Amino acid sequence: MGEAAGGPGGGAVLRLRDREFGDEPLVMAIVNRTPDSFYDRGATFAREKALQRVDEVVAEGADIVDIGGVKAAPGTEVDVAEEIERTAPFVAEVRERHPDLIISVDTWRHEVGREVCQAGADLLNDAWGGADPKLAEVAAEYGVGLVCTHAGGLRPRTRPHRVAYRDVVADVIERTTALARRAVEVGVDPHRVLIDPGHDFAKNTWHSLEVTRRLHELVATGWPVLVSLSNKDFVGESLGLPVAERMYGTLAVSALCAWQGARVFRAHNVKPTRQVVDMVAVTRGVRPPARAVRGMA
Amino acid sequence: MIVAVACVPQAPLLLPGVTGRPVPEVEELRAAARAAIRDVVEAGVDEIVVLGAAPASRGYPPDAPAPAGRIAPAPDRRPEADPLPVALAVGRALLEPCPVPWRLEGIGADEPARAAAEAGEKIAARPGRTGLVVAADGSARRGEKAPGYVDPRAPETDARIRDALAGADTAALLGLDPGRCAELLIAGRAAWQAMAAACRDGEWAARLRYAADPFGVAYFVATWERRPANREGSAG
Repeated sequence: MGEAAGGPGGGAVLRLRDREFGDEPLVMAIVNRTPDSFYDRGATFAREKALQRVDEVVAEGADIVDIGGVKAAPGTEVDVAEEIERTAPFVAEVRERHPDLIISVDTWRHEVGREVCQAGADLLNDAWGGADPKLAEVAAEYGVGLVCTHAGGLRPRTRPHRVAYRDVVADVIERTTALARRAVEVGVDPHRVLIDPGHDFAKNTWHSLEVTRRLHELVATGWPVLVSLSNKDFVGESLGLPVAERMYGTLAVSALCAWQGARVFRAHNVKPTRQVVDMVAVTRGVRPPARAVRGMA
Repeated sequence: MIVAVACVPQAPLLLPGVTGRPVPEVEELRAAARAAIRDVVEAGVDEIVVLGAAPASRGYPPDAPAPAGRIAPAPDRRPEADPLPVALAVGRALLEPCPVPWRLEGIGADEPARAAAEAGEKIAARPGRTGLVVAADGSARRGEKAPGYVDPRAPETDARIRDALAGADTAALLGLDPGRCAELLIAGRAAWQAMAAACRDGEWAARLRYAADPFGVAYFVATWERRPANREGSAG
């Protein structure tokens, strides 16, 4: 099914670090080394707080941590040196504390990618749609994974303004699979490439809802799909709720994406996300129940 | 003639894969049951007869599907056409892989004691050295969380069955009251009576290997091996 779009095939193995994953969903915990990200507003900017957050999310069942040094929305300029300073030493420290943890870094810059790979990162989460083409080359050079996100061609840290698509899902598939194919061409292991429709990125709420409803079309490309839904504006606008009250809405759309076959869930609220996506996976039959004995004794 | 017997529970949760991830209590029970059956196979048998409750007292095809897809339907485990009765499927699942041929004999769960005994005698009359695997279990009314809630009479009847299995007391099993057993949701009564009738003649070395009720149902695992003195008289 995925051959037309070039993916390794539906239900294909996803490789991260030295492990291989099938259809069971993975939870990627957001760890911000930023003073200004929208949800936690700097709560884990300090090194100790961020390390504590990593320990907590691991205990709550996160498979991956996604460390970010620059908030997605426009704001104070963070240059390459500053972004490296926020992320690379921290990656090294997390690697030392959690030798088997899968570490992702949220960056679009290849200079940052290189430093964090040397520090022990396993995955580069390029949320800005290949704005810096050299990032994929760094992923190839270090044998790490790459997330190819739909950002509609926007420059990093810009907001959607009066966006319109003939077919948003078609655009998402076209751009993300093109990025994925290019990553493989420059040497990234095809089993280490994910695609992300980029909810809220270059999309208004209607576009993000359309992508959510039709997520199965992305899954059908054969590339493993990552979704980043957590507490985003499309949830907030859908329910009329501020950032602090979007968890249930986030979990609802997480369940819908899990049902359609998304493989990785980037989340702030790890424990509830873990339970929701695991429950959906058990219902789909891609994860066994923990303990089914009722009515069978 | 019957040279060895293994008695194992008939619970659906013993069918492979139906608990999801391995459940420790089930795995402990399964290990005890498989060890008991292994002893029977290693007693030098020509064939195994699996005996268990069924809608009717008759033989079932040895390769008929287990009812796993009816009990635990899942995307990769769809309901089967004409599956085995659960007890026979459980007995066979615990037996496999098995180096000797096996037969599956159903015993109507509501058969009167006499009919059950006659079914057992037929099995005892089979030529060669027969190993018997009996899938049967005790009361499902052993507590507030038991499938059949509480019946205060359950422990006493289960204890009688346990002692009979531990001591190869065929008379005690043949004496179980079908009405009382039905009230106590003892699903294994008819199979045990068939087993007892099949083993009436001879001396047995009995061993109780498991007796517990982790889910409110009385499970027993026991082996009976015919004592050598009787084995001589059975040659041929």
